[in-house]
Amino acid sequence: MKQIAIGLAFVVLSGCTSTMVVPVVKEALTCSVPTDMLTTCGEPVPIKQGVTFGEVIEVTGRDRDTLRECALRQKSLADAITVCNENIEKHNADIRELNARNAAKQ
Amino acid sequence: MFNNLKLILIGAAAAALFGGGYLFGHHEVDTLKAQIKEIKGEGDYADAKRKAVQVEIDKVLKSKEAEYTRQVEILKADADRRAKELSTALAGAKNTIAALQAQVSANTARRAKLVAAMATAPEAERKKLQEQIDALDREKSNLITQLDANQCMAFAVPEAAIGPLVQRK
Repeated sequence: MKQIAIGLAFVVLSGCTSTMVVPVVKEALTCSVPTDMLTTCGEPVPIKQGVTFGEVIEVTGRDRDTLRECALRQKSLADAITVCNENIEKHNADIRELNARNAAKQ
Repeated sequence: MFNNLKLILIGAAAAALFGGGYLFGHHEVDTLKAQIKEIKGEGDYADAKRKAVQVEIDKVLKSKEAEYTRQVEILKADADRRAKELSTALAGAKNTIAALQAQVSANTARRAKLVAAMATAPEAERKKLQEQIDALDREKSNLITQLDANQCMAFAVPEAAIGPLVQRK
């Protein structure tokens, strides 16, 4: 009787000999845009009381330079995000295709 | 004897049941293992693709950053150049004004001579002299416009015009 029980125990336990690592959810794609592109735009130069026409031209020039730099930063940031979105969308399309292939198998 | 036979038969039946169950279960487990292996393979494939896309994103962002840095440098150099030009123009405003005033004086003197010459000139030459005087008047008008603009640089902007833009404490 004891021998039978031991035999049965071996039979039952033999089903537990191997394990398999099941895939887990991986991290999503990241879009680490350069920190320089995340800087906010500069404020307009303050205008003092009694400003001369010559000083107004200087102030305007500096504000225009700030605006140009800000516009460049905004455009570069938009370009970077567009590139990220395009790549992410392409990857998601691949994943959708993979899922559709799997669904068709079942 | 009979009891032993009964025990053996029960044992054999139990072993047969367990064996059948094991075989059935083993078959099911194999199927599941195959499915898990397939899922794992596809997961690994998707992960490899994700990594490749991440590498591509990082690469493009790096090149965008380099391009942005290059363009910022150009903008800054351009801004510095313009600021220096303006500063030089404003600093040299006094000299410019003096030079323009000298030109206006010369123009006035030339005109006075022509007017004087006209008084004694024969009729045939008068038209020619008048044309020269008119040309001098046009030149003077142009000089005065430039003079006003340069003198204006040092004037304060009227409060009514600049008031709304002035930052008050």
